[in-house]
Amino acid sequence: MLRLIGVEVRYGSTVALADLDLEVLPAEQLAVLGPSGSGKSTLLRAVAGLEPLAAGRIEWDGRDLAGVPPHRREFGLMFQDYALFPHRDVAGNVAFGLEMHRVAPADASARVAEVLELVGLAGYQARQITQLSGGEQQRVALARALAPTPRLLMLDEPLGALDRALRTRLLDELAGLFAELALPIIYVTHDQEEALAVGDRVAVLRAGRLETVLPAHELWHSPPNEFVARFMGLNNVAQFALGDGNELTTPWGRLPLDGRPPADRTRLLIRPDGVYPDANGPLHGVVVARTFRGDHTSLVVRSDDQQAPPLEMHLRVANPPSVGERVRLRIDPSAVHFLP
Amino acid sequence: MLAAPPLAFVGLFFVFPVVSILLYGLAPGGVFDPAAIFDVLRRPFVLDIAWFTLWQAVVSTVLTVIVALPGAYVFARFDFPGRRLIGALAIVPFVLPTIVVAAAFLALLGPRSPLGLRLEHTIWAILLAHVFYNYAVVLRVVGGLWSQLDPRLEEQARMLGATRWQAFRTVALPLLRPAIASAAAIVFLFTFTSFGVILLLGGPRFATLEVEIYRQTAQLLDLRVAATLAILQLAALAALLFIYSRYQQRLAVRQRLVTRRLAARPVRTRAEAGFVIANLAFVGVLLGLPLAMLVERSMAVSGGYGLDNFIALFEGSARRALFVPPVEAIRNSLLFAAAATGICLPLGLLAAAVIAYRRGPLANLFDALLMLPLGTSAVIVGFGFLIALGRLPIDLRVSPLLIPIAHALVALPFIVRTTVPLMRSVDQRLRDAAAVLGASPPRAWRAIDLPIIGRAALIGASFAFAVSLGEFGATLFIVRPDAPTMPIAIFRLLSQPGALAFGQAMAMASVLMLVTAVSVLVFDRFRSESVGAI
Repeated sequence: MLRLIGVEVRYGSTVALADLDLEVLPAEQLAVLGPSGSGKSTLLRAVAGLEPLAAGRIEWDGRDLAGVPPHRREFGLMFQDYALFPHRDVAGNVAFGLEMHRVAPADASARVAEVLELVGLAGYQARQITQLSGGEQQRVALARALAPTPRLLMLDEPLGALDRALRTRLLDELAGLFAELALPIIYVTHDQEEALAVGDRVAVLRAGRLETVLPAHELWHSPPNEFVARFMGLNNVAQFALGDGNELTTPWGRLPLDGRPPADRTRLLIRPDGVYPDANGPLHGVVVARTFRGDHTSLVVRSDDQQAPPLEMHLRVANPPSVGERVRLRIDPSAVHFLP
Repeated sequence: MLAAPPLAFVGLFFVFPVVSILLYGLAPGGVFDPAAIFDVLRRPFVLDIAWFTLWQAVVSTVLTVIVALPGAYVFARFDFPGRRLIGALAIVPFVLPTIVVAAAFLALLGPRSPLGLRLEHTIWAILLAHVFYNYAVVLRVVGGLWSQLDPRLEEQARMLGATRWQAFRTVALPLLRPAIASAAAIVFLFTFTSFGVILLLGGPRFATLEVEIYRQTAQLLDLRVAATLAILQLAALAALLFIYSRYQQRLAVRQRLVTRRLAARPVRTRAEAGFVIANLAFVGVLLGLPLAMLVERSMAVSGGYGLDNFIALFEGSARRALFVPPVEAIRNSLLFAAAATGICLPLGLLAAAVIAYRRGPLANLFDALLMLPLGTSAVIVGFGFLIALGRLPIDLRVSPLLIPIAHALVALPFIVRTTVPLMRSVDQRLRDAAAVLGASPPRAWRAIDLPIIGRAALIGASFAFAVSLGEFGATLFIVRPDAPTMPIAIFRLLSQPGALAFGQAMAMASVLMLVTAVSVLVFDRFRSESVGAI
């Protein structure tokens, strides 16, 4: 089990990671999510032993890793653009870790064939790196990281360099493969879809600090604060006040109250898929933007109060309202969450 | 058309003299008799000299590469205060005239060494001077590629279980091989044709082919032996260039995946700091100590320090060695350098323009032809002048332009090599942008190309001037006794016994070092501003 305790990493005077506490449980898939520059890659490099710690400890099964150099940690790391060795062919790349561990050549080539098959590249041994497509390079890099049977696998934006269609396909494959491996995994990404798809738990980083770490479904359904909500693509966030009786006052209008919010909450979040047109709805406004997204249509509605933030909604109907149309809206109470 | 003047110049002053050497060796007395060569080659001393030339070059090259690799790593991978300045200073030895290097090592290791080292006339003095001289070649060439190697390749190797050393050996080293091969080829070329260093530091015991060509010509007056040795030298260099180009083509294929990224990062652990400091200290001692000793010896006078040696340069007291007061050598050098620059700059810019703007096999051939003087050594140029130029209708051997012409020939490849990249660096899109903004082609050329060519001219001129100031090998063959240049004067003073001549030699070498170093640092500054070198 990996444990980070009060970890701090500095680049000169810049603090890249500050006071970070985090655990990765046995066979857990932990996704690390954050915007670029939030310290995700630094976190991996620190765990790998490639960055010295300015403070704190990293432990494996209770043992401090401070004096353990990268090549003794037995952690696999896959860089964003794969860092495949250009002077070696596919087999040479995958076998590298086995050579370093002095595995006998016959056993090594058996293991190379085994992991290549695992990632769906059986028979690719003699290919040159330059002849591979982006997706194939990604798999070779994965096979190379897996070949020496690491006790922890870390992936830095593994799908970042690929086009969208390929990403979706590989994401499914990776999720399946990870389940099969039963290995602790740290998966770094800036894409919330990937994080939710891969992570049992998702850690959100912001400017070198851990914002939250939660099970994936919990993160999506009840984000703990506005930053996380917005980073997950949920932008209907606003201040609210308790009105008389069973009503909430929001910039968009009055909403019926379904149970009292906890006392320390000052903002509310409305999920875009919980907003729908209703001729008798309590809110109203004008559609200012409409974007067709395939499985749904995204609408932006402005209320008459110009101070109110625009309200986003996702509709799955054949004839959504057009831009300029006045609409009345109703909100599904289960789509409302309260934020600190 | 533009190519005609440089072609004529190289043809008349390089190809013709080299052909004359070949004829002199192969057809002595006007009758073609290749067997005559073997009469000379069979003499036992020839084999000894050829063998020494080869092995000292091999050992010097291997030593330089081994010693300079850690430095290249430090400069490529770490960012530390003063990195740019130290990097610029580290190339100074490479551009110093051979005679200054030889003088500096005599100051450090010679009979008057203040440190009491006595290594002159040993192989160690030669090897040390060669490492000193060529350290920067490896630093620049290998460091240049290293700074573009993705550091994550080595980190990936570490993650897969490789120690630092294994990561270097299995990942960085194979990827650096083309650069190491290039650097080693350059160092080998320079040490194989080493002349001034061996003539002065080796003493009578050691001679390379170059040194022996000079001795046979100037001391034993046996031009036939000299011509034969020159042919041997040319053949060896041709073989080297052939092998190298074959090898380089084989290696070149793999370089595509290397990404350019800023790999230098600050030092973060104690071990890293120790490594960087140890390397910088080593560079400081290796490169700084000989030059410091040169300056120290130039200031040393009986019973203390003073400027007596420098003042003596203006007096006639060394008249016997030089036939003229030493200060006249300084005047001669400046005049010759100005003339050489005047000859070389227009030719070099014309040639560079042809190479930069007309691509294709003809332009490549032209490029290769202009590089030939660089690959053959100055001694061959000087010896060729001596043999060939008496055959022309006008006897150039008595012309005051003879030395500037030789210097221009030696400087020409350098000017072409430094200005071609600058001229090519003009992005076609800039011209397109100017055209879209309404500039006619001549206006666009004036606005965009002309400033760059002006800068190229400035760099080329300072380089030609520095090369001419320090040129020794060719000049030694063709210099008139009453008109020595600074390197010749230093050489003659060092050949004289006595503390006074030695002190004056040190003083003049210091002056030459200063002038060359300043012009080269200025040049380097211009160059890095324009093309962003390391």
